[in-house]
Amino acid sequence: MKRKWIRKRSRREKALLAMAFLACLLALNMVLDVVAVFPFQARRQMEEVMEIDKTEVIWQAPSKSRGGYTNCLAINEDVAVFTGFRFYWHSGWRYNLAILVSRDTTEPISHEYMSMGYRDGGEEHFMGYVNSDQVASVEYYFRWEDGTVKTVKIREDSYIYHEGDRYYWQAEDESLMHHPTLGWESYPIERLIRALDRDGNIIYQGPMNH
Amino acid sequence: MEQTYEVRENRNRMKENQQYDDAAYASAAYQAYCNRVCSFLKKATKKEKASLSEELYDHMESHAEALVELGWDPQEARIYAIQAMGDAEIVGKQYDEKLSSFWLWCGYVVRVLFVALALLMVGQVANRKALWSDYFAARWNPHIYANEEIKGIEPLWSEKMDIRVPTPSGKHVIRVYQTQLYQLSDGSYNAIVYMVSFPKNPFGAKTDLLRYMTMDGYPGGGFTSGSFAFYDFSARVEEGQKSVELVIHREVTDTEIRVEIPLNWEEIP
Repeated sequence: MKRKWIRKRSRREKALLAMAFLACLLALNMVLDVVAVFPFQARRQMEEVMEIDKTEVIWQAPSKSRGGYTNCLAINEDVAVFTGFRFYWHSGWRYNLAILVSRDTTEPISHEYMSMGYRDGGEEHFMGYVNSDQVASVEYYFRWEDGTVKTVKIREDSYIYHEGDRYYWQAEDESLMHHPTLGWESYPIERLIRALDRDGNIIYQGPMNH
Repeated sequence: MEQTYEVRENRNRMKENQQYDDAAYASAAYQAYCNRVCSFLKKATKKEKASLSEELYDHMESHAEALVELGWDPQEARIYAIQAMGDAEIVGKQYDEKLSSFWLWCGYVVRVLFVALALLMVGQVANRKALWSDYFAARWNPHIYANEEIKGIEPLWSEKMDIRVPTPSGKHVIRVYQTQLYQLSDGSYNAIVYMVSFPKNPFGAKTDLLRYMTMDGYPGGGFTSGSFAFYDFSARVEEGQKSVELVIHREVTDTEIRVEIPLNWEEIP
């Protein structure tokens, strides 16, 4: 009895076929957005949730305090987004912390401040967009009821520069917000942000966004 | 040549013993040839060796059958079919040269990636299993979450509606699905607007704009997960007030969305 001839696939053909299947699965995943396999997918998800136009990453660096996280600054025409990404083996790339700061401002700075709590302690995040060449440093000012004052100063040399624009993002340990004697019992009653010129003169002062 | 010798040897043996089972002999001879070819395959996997062996076997067998159909003696046909294959060492080595380690490993890596991605996707679907029913309720039947009464007070008026709040990306749905009017014990009126929000893509997350949503200046409350939100907004209204206003105002992106929600006093007895 004659057997039916079946042409055997070469290794190359098998590999290419497997690649085609993988490409189809990746395409399906991209369309449905089930898992962010690439960091840009997590960024797209963040943009969709935040309802902002597509962004471009201009700066990223591993987070010093949050293991596995990459801090990332992405911008579009209107806003700067301070965000963090991390890859999880069980769920792909995920973003957390997405803070929007306006780039479309007439003030010398647009700014944000955020307290973040983590399992192993918290962090205070200071971030913003510097809109004026005159701003040599940015100062966050906290004053407690008993007169205790703490400040966080972000100087020019720690700015993130991109195409003539300047941004900053500084994270401090949560102990910054501890009152020296009362700890968490007391919270600052005054929170201000100041933009200072090179001579230390205040050129902008406003309440802190939180 | 070793192969020729082997075939001649086999033929002599066949002639000496006429009782010999022809089919079994042919099978053994084909198999021996195949094994010899396979012994020269250094880069082939076990599966590839078995596959090639089967292919060669089939080829010899069908060649012999074709010769028999042309009138050849079956034994002669089988011997010729083996001889026609050529030297086993040359066939084996030539085949081995064609085997690329690159494509073999490439295939393995791609398969591993495929399985990993498939598992990740299935894992994500399974992860959300507790949320699916609420997501589908948000999408198709949100009314189950509207109050039928509040603290024993039935609404004066309650109407199901489908008012969509436009979102900048168009990828989320914010829908007002029911509005009610209550009269409180002090005689004042309260409007409650029920709203649901979900991403159009069931694997997406809910919009951040909900954080900036108010009704006549009051924020809403409700229950939410990563992918949907059921909110209700409550505001005091004057008797006969025609509508309340839902507002989304996000300063940082200069987003402002206003939607009028009509109130119907005519149906109130």
